[in-house]
Amino acid sequence: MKNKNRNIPKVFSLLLSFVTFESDISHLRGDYEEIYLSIYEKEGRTRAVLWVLKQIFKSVIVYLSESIIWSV
Amino acid sequence: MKSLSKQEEQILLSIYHLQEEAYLVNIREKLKEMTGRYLDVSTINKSLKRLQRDDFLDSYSGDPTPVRGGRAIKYYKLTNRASEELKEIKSVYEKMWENVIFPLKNS
Repeated sequence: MKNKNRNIPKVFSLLLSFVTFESDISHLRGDYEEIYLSIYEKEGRTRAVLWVLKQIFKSVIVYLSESIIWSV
Repeated sequence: MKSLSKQEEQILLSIYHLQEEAYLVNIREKLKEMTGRYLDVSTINKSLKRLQRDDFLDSYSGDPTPVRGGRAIKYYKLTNRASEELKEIKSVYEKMWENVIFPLKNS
């Protein structure tokens, strides 16, 4: 039977948790899941996974930019 | 008084329009509807945190839903400070845009 799991793949979910850099991320992970599911349903799994990868990358950029600003 | 960035203004106005349904996912969709582009989750979250820290927003938790993997929703609402700030911004814009006619005349 084809895998019908429409949640964020676990490895990406863990990476998102790692790069979110917040103490309380439960609601944020819920937001990511909801948007992922929306993209999955409208545009398919590949687009949804690409979106998650982009979010991971952007989270790192946002964190680094904040770190640089506050260290100056 | 700390001035709001354009993005923060747009987020506050999105929250105003969303009323009781103002949480990150809906804010993102409202911004897309108003501006034509999606902002990244981390960018919106960073602005929401800053707005809350600077007393423009309050937040409260909603019920978890299955679509969110059983995780609760964090809703936002405008504070009195946000209301005052947006009122002032609107007043400034109205004065500045008064009698502006397109195409603009060259000076």
